[in-house]
Amino acid sequence: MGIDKFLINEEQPVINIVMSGVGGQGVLVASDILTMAALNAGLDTKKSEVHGMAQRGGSVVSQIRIGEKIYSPLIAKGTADILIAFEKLEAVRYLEMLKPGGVVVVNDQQITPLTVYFANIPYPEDVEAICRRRAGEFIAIEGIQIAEDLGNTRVLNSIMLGALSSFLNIKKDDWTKAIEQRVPPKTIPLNIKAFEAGAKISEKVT
Amino acid sequence: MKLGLTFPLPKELIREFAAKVDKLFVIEELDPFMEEQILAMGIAVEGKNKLPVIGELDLNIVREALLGDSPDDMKFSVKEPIPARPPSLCPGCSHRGVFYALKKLKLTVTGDIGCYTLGALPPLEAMDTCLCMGASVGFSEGMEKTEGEELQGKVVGVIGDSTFFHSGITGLIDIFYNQSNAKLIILDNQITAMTGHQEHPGSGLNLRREPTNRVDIEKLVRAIGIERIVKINPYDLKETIDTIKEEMQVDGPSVMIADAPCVIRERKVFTKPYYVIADKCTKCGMCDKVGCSAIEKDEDGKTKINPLLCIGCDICRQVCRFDAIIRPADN
Amino acid sequence: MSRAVLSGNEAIARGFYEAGGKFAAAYPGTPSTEILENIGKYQEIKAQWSPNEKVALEVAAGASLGGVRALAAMKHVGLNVAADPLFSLSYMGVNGGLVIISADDPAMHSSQNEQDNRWYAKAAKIPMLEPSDSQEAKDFTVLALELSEKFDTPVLLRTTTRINHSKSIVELKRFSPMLRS
Repeated sequence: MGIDKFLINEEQPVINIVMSGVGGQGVLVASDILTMAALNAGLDTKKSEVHGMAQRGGSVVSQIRIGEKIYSPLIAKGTADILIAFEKLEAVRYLEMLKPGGVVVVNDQQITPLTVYFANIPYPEDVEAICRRRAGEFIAIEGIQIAEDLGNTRVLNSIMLGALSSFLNIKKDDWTKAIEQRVPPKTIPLNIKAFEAGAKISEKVT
Repeated sequence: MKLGLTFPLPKELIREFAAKVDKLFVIEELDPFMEEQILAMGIAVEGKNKLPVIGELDLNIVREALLGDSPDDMKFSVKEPIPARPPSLCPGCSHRGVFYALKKLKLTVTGDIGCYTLGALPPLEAMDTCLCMGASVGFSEGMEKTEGEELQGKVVGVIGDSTFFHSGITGLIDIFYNQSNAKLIILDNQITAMTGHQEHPGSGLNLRREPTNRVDIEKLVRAIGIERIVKINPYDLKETIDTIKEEMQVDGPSVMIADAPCVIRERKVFTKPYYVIADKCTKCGMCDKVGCSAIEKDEDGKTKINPLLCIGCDICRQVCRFDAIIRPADN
Repeated sequence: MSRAVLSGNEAIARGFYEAGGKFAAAYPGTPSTEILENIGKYQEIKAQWSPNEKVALEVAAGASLGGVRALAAMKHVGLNVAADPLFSLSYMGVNGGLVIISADDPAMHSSQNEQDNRWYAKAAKIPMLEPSDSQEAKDFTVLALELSEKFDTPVLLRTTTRINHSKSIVELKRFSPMLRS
């Protein structure tokens, strides 16, 4: 049991990460922190996302690429190494981005879109089973529970980043610095705590 | 080769590059802008015979267009239908009450561009046209003047405050000047909300959020010469419906101003989250019709309200006929 | 020299600042909005929202006539609104460098239509630069102002949503007000 960290080397010069969620969950801030951590680690990085709907409860996705040298900010379908979803349906929606045997990290939370009621399209029942058709590793995180235990549901994104960090060869200091650079100063200690809580969960599988 | 200067095209560079390759493709998004110019230079080039003229390009699209196929790894898809998650009016949005009223009154609504364009989506579906910035005003005038008896008193324009400043004012001048009976609702949430809350001439703040002069919409409309101007409180559904109904019947133009700041901008919370008494909920579906993402269903299909999303705007309570939705006691 | 991860829009703002830009105006519109928001963070620059894109371009062009480096930013359909001044500005030319940002939105992520604003450069006969990442977005903003002054013409900087909202690493230089030639 256990999978290796994704190392950036001759065999794998670029790591592709897809981060998805629902507007308001903090996906875009999390992907900012990820690219800043990569910069702090001396790596090249590009990320792509579309703003505009993020505050209105729409589906949000950010594509992040990290490596020695990155050209395109976009990830081709079927080539993402890691899919990290802040909501279960948003894992299923972007599963086609994942490479066979890739890693899925998902926050075990269901936010039902209105279309389930109006268009009568059911919310997928067994998200883990669907993801496992493609993924080599599936990790569910009780993100909301952990965030509530920490006293603030707004730190979900730092928990998810912590969970992601176990798969990447980026030093803790580079992460911490990135968090300090990006989140409101008052919330730095709480976000770092949240990051550590997330890292603890995924450490077990790497 | 990748070009940075795309007009005028660096023709010598392109000729040199073309001479070095067997076959030349132009990969460009949307129109064959470079391709046609390079063809006109007498260079054999392909592009839009294989690539789409709409949409973004990505690696998968380009690969399939030029190489004919993609590796199997790239062809995975989930079999199950995946419910879409379109954006929707925020819980507590001040636009919701107006669109609920417009739907209820079965009016023909010429719409405009902003957050409130989301009023066109189900379940509200209370917007019939959306053309460009400001078009709600001219559209309603044109329809009102030509559509005959059956649409008299049935067409109303809906425009946001920022869009009104952008391109709505001239249309309203035309309504007055050319003696139209058109009716207009200005959704004044005092900010350019859709693009992320930018200030505008009516917000009283400049780009750096320092105090500045403020254009008063009501005074502006009055200065044009429009005499009938009424304010609407969009959080009171009955008042909103009655006011719109009455204004639609008047002779001459009327401007209704729905005056309520953007709740996201203000970080507004009206009350503690509302809740549902399950025994009283009959699953009639009335509350679904306000299109609020805080309204969810429990295992039995009864309404429940997501306390993380509800800010207590009261709209859903006003449509519930069974008093199942409860306003929390103030304390 | 320091490095930062910037969006294309942040990089355009930074480029305008590094080039000694003095006046910028815009009407908000996705994906262009953050350009002016970020320019507004530099106190050295007069930055303001206009009621629409036509006014934004006119006041920016007026600032250029006044002798400073100026910028007007808008989304693709915004340039339709500003097309009236655009075409005649091409005849009139500039004093301080004038760059017009057209942020196109292929795939209509946040728009009602698709349109390819590269045709505006050809139709109005003004030069056009197209950056492919944030570093180029910054560099081309500086270059656009230089070309504008050298050839006495407004210059179009055309981006797409993916350039405006993608982030990549940019080398930052210090603020260095350039003297107009």
